Amino acid sequence: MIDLAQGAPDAEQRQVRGRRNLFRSHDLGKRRQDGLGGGDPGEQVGHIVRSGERKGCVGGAVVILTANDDADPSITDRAERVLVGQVVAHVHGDGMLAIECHDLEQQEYRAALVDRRTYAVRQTEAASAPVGGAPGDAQLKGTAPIVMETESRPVGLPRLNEPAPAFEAVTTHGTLTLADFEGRWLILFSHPADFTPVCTTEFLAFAEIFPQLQERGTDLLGLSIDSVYSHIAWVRNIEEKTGVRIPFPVIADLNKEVATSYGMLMPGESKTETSRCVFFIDPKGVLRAMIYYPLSLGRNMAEILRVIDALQTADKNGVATPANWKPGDKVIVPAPNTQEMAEERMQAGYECTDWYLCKREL
Amino acid sequence: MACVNPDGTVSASGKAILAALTQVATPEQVAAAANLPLFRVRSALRELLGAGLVTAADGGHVLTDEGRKRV
Repeated sequence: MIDLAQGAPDAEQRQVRGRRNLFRSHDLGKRRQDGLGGGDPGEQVGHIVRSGERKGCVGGAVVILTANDDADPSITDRAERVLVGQVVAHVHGDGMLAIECHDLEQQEYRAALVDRRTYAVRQTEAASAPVGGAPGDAQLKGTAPIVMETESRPVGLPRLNEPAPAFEAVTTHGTLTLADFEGRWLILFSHPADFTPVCTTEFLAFAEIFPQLQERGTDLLGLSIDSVYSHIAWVRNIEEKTGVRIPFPVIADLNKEVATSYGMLMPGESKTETSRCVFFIDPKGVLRAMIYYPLSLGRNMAEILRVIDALQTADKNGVATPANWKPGDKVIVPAPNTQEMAEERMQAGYECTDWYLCKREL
Repeated sequence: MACVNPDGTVSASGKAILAALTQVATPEQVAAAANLPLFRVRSALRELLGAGLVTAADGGHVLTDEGRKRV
């Protein structure tokens, strides 16, 4: 277990100044001086305590982090920051958990930045002013309100054939959950930002294939890191300027929660805009396919329709689809997995190049 | 809020859903009757439940007395 805790300008001095700030230094030799704002440039503003002890801040919160299995010590030393005072945490789409603090007593602003790929918030506890108490004391537990995630999902790309990450999100059609789409196919796609040129062409293109998707029992759901008001203004603007009504909901993912859980943010491209991602989720909520495009490349709607057609065809007929397959083309009969079946396959009347590559009409 | 406005009035889609709930109906039945996507209906039912305009009953939903006043 790893605690994120305060490193004082001078650890001893801070203790003398009173334990009201309650940040003892542990293992100071490994710490680097760093800060996201506030505090003197040279002061040590944070460190990670490699112990099971709890740390707290007056009137703020105790934040306990656990390292994931793949925690990288170099990231540990890079990602740490300080907590003092009241704590507000929010998730960055690039996998970082930003923790902002304000020390009411010293009027200092500090911030913590924790790599969510390496750490998960395990527990937070409100801390009422524990004057004279020691870090880790029960005194730290209190009722001071904090805004903080209490659980976080390990960040990374979602995996095929696993349940798609659940969500509840504000959209242009009201608050929607993933479960609301149960029983139908869902294409969840992200775009970088509202009122941008490539995205506008994509929204027009998605609207154009919307009827075809409906024929396939498929719903569409967009997402970007914009407010719902921005989404509303944009889709109204699109309709006003082009006459095309956007018929699908768009998630307003301002806190990047959905974007993060689906790995839509590619920090190498942008830390504030989602890439052009497409997730194909089946009626049972299982992620079946995903496509990622860079910011500069508008998506191909024919391919999106083709993927839905191929997945539905494969499910319905127990077949696979060859390269460049499109509806009406021959499909691939799954390869036999015993010698006997291989011999039988050659006699089965399929169009076989060899026993492992046979096609048939649907 | 998708179907209950901040002032307590019900939107057009909300009224269409309420109108489909004079008898107990499943979300699928409501979606067909109101000609709305199923996801919209499921979301709206949560909202209408919270507003006390519908109640769960026999595997579906039905109007409350307050909901009847809004139809």
